[in-house]
Amino acid sequence: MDFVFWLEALPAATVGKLYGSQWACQAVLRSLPPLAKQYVARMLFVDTPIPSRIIQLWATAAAASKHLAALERLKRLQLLVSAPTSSKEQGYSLHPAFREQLQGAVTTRAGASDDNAERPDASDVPSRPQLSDYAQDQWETMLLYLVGTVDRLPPASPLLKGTRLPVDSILEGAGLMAGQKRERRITDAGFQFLLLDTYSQLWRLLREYIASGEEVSGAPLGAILNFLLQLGFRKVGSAFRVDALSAVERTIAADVAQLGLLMPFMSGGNVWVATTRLALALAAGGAGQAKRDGNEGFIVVETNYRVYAYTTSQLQTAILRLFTRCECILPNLFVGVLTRESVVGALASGLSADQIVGYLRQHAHPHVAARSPVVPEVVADQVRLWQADTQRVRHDRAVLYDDFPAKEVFVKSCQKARELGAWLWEDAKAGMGRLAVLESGHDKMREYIRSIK
Amino acid sequence: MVSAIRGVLLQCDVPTKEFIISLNEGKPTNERFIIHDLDDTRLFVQPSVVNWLEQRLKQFNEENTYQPPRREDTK
Repeated sequence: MDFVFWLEALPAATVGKLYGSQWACQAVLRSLPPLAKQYVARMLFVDTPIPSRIIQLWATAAAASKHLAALERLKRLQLLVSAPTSSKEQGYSLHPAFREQLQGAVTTRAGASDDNAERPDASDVPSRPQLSDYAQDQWETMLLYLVGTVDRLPPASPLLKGTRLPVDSILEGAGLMAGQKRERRITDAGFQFLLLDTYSQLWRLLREYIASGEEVSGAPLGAILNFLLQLGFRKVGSAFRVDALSAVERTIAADVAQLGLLMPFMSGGNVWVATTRLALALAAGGAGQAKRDGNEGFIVVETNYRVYAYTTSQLQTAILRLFTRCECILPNLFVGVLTRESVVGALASGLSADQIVGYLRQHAHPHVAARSPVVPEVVADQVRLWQADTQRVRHDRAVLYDDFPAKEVFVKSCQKARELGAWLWEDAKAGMGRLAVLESGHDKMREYIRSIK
Repeated sequence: MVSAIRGVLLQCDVPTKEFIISLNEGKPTNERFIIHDLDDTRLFVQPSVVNWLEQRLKQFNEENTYQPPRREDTK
């Protein structure tokens, strides 16, 4: 669940307002699938609505499904607005505000937003390694807290005044933790969350943060989102003064600094914040982000199910322990084995085989990353087989229809069930036919069968 | 008149289905849960037994999986 999926769920008016900001528009463009990006580019400088029949001609018949998916995506993001053409045909145009912002971005403004003249002393600005360490520390402490390995929250910086970020309620609100104070525990969704890439994790939390921020401080959603997105378009280490920000922005800055998106520092008696590479992930768009995560891979999987992880991080070890049996831990190395027991245990706590294999692949050590497949096939297949083994029976609450008065009624009922998406099984041979549908579709089916008899 | 029966549709592989049938036959007549035997891989059963069945199947699976002993244990 990332930024764009979330936008799709917002009401049209809110999204429309959001497109008044160039950062939002650029972030949305970045996160679109390639074909949708191309369609946006095509329509960008067309002022009149484009008739649907011309849009249909854009794709060959073989690519129809991708074409439809791209259009559907654009429509759900309110980017495609239906409008009649001059000849009264049905047509579409780009969202006007979105088009204007993007046109601006293409023709005039460059991406950088480093236009504030003021700069801190170069010697005070944290170096890249410092920034990266800070970001990693804060973010990992948060994740370790989620796993339950540490009992403290990521520390808030004393330089930034403001309320402490309500990490507990955010984690709970996002469905990652549940329970009362002392017995707060990670949920199934939380386990899956750990294996996601940083981009998705970040947005999952920020989504919740923004939603709760709207309730608590009354800050309009647009303002928060806009501030966050423009952070994503800065360079790593670009700094700005905290007291130059508005009150709302200052609170947000303090909050995201606790998550490691911004690193506070002193220069010339003022408090400054510098963006870290975590902030960059904000506007990076989902696809391909995992690869460029900055963190080099560290995992080697062998065909004998051994997992070697060159890491010193407690968090990585904790995650690997979710689905491997630990054999030994050396100062810089974790050795574990994927066993049926350990994997089935992980599956039972809500992970899926694909997530496990995906995690191993995503964090592959550079030495094996070039190998294809990265995770040996026998291991990947075995993990999937173990999963298949736990799901040998599929069961659905259903209703079985029998004794149809005529073949025709049976055939029509089957058709109707398929239309409703409730169809499970049919057997044309037994008598006049038998049909099983999901229980949820029973009411509609009963009405339908009555009506055609 | 079309008749409609509520229940649970199980879809599984052939050996699993045979195992479920044998479970059904091991029960006294009034507790049997299979309503219809639909085809090779599908059964229509009483909703009340689904959890119990899941458990039994898991147990059955565990019993029939060979787990190589840990190397440390065999030493």
